[in-house]
Amino acid sequence: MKLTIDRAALLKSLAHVQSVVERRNTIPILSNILIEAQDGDSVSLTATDMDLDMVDRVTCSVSVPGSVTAPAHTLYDIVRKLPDGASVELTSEPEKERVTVRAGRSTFTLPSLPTADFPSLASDDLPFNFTLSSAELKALIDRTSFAISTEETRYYLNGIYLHATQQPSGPVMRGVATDGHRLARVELPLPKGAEGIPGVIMPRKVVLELRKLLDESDGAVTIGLSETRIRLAFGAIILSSKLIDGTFPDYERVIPTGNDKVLELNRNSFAEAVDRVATISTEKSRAVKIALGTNGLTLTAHSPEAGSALEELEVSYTSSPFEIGFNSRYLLDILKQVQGDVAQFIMADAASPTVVRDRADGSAIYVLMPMRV
Amino acid sequence: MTASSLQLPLALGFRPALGEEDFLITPCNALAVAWIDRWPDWSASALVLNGPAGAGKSHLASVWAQRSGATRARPGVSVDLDALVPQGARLLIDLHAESHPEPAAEAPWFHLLNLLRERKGQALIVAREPAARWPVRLPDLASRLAALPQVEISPPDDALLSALLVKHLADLGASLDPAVLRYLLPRIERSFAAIAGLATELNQAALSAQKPITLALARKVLQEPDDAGKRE
Amino acid sequence: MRPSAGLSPASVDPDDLAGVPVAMVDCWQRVRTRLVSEVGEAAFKSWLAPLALQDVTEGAVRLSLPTRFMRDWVATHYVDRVRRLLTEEMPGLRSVDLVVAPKLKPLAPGLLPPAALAVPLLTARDLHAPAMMRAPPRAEMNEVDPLSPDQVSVPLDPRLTFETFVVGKPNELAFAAARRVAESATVSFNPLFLYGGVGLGKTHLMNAIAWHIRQRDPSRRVIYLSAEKFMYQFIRALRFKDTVAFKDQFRSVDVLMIDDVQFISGKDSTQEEFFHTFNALVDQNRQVIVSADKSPSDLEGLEERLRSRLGWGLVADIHPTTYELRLGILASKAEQLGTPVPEKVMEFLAHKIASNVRELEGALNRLVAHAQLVGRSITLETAQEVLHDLLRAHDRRVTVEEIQKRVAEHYNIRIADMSSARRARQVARPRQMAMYLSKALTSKSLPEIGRKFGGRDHTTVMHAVRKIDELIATDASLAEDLELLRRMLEC
Repeated sequence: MKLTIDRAALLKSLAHVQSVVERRNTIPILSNILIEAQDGDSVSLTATDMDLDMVDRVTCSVSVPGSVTAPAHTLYDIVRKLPDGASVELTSEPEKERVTVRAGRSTFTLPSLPTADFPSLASDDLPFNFTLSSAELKALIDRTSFAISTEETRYYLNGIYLHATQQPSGPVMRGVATDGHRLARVELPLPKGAEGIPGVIMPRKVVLELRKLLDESDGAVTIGLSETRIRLAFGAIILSSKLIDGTFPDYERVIPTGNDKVLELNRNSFAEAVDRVATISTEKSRAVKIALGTNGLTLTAHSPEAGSALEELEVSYTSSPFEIGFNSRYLLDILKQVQGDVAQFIMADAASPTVVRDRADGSAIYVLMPMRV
Repeated sequence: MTASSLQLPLALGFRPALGEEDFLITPCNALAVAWIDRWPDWSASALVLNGPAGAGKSHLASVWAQRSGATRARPGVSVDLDALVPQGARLLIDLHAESHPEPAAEAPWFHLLNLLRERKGQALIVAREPAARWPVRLPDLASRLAALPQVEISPPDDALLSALLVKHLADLGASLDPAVLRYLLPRIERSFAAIAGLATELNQAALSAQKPITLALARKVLQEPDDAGKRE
Repeated sequence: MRPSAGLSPASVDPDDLAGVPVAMVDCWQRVRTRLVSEVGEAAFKSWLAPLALQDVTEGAVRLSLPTRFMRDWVATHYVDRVRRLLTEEMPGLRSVDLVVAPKLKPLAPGLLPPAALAVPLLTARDLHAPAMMRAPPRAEMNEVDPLSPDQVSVPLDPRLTFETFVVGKPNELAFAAARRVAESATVSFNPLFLYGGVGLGKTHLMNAIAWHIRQRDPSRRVIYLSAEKFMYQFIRALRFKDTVAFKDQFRSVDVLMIDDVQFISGKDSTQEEFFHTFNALVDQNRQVIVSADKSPSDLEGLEERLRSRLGWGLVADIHPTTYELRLGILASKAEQLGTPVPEKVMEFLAHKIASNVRELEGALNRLVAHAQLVGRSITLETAQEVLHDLLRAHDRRVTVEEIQKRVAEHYNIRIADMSSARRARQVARPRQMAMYLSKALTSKSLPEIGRKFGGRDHTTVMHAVRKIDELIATDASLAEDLELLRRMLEC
């Protein structure tokens, strides 16, 4: 194989795929990416960690069609350090099991493993196919991914749960994530073709990779789904992954419906106040206390080492006075996702879940458990 | 708001696994299982299954309900018994935490037992206390209840204790390391209710800390003086 | 050397191995024995003992576990060990699979006809009983007149005939009266009023009369139902504005039998209706038979005119059973059930369950069923155990303190020695027995038990339990003491 490619195009594509490759691999071939150049003017780069695969296609000029594998991170580092505007030549030498990278006066020779060793990608039949706009998918991920759990023994929480359900407004697709302390639930109109999809858990790694890539894309994303796999295609990229083999909890049970204390406040000024006051709270708990009364809201924090803080806010609250504690980071995470000016806190008491929503937008709701302070 | 501040966890849970292949048979419930297996040959129109809270009565009962196609029923004043008990009816009457029928329901219960006999139906009655000991005022009902066959799930044996703890935790979505299980077993109260309570506490503590159930966490849960009192 | 069956915790239940080659069975036995030594007896008993060899085909072994979560647990924590040991025993092994095989076996549908549902445990004798008056199948029921006789009348119980009624002093008068009414073609006394306490056999006599009349003259229309059912039917008729049909239905029968008439006390409109029905039938010289838990004059909440009407015919009472009669009933019932019941057990039941016949028969049914389920014959001990809820109003909760006291008394040592540091054999062994019983009879945690024995550690309690467990197998007198103490503490 021999091809010539613009450094910037190669770098962009390598940046995409190398991110899938784990830093430490017990199986050597998984440290490599597969470079395949067919007849014509494009090359595809493939990376996999056995669960998640990514294929990206870039324009280039192919003089000898063929394929080769190369160490992903090394190749990426090399191309990153090449001067902008350079033209890169990739040549395989299968008999010597190596690959050569040339640009200007630089030449690198890298070890290569046989392409036959590269795992073949799953080509399962995906019975459900539908399309979401890049903006919809971004919103779904942003409003839920902060709540994904990283605790590995509860592997079924290590992703976003996607499923279809019926709302009075019509059929919707829901994304739900929780780490046991807070829960985020987002809805969007069910796309055509997604009727009857199984409830699936999209792993955290796919979510994060996808979110990065979506920043560069504003077209439509074509999604293929089965009970065990998801495939997302957009631009020149195809991302395909196993889904988490587990059961998502019966999450509806933790979304309270009978809370009666409604607090409305300005999202920005509240977020800023929480951030200021939390400077004092201990690193470990990040607890802040909210006291609600007829005169408004008082936000306090104190720690034996750092002292104490108090800030008062004007809010709309007419129910009985009470106090409740929260993890300030959790409050900020949620407030960041509220787009409108007014955030609504719907509460019951200091030991029960609080519902947070955007007054202007009912498509997302957040559930937050208080702290005992 | 210092070291004592504690993040409370959401009460995440799953629908408990109540299938036939989720029921564990050990000596303490083998007789109850044998009665369920023996159905419909109960030599009566109803069988009373009793045992302490958390003994798996409702689980076993729902296995039976699935097998027999039984409908859940609760005799009461405002219940149309005639519709509830068709010819050949199969009913599951689970009293759950209620210890016995309330006085106003006694006449409907009596009528229900008669209807079952008359219409060749059968019911599985699930309660904590044996029916013969319910404080029933209506003598005809008391006598009918006392004459029913009756089987009890006895307190858990050691093999069941560990399996049950693992099962309860699995139903809560948590897993347990064998080393932690070995630590816990000789140190816990050996009753169904205590095991269920312990599983809930371990799960909550783990969720609150966003950590697996480690030995250190298990130790902390067991030593909590508040909770030790609650498990009494 | 193969361990002898039944002693080692690793021994295989032969029932689990149907269809598995003998060589494989031996190999599996060796693996189990090694598993016990590798994981320890406690973990083995909880998780690995239930592992059963499902089948073996071309190097693939399938092992089954009774539940899904046990399968998951073994798959997570033990399967590698099991695979390693199996591979050592079976060099050609390719794969080991764990599957779930629930022990509750589903019954084949349609194994028993629906008609048999309520009358199981039929014996040859029952089969000679008159054919049941069949209720129409459910589908048709919606279409027929809701007040057809089949709907109104309660199906008779084929077991309740004169032949199966055990006669003794307390019930001979009622029995004779019932027979006479059943056998005579003309109405000699109207009504026949049978009364007696709950569960003494009124319903049995009522059923027997109905069977007999139907058998002798199938053309006679007999309606037999309880007063509460009469009431429900009447309320229904009122609701559906169908009282004319209701009246016609009841007033056109040859024999009307109403059981437990006390149920309409206080129900004025039902009483009124019943009174008119009653009069209409008596006027037409149709037979009316009524039962109640009290004599007509003692029936509270019943209108005076109805009370006096009910007392016009023959009033026969059934007295509470005597010990002899109860014994006779038990003997007859045992014969019906076709299961031998030791005389001692029958005497025990007749002595202990004196309240009524229904409970007595219920108790015997339970004993027989229990014996069939566990495959052992009925003994006095099992009777006490199985019927504990009937025999005692409460189960006693034994405390550690009581156990200490009893054990100390039994061995004639001081209670203080239960918590003392003395290690002499004559106090140490009873102390261990008390710890053993505390674990067996209370739900206290081992650390808590240890605390009550002078602040000992839970490992001391575990050691005591293990020690006594060992001694039970070798020391017969200790085992006997233990059994005696257990029984004393439990009752």
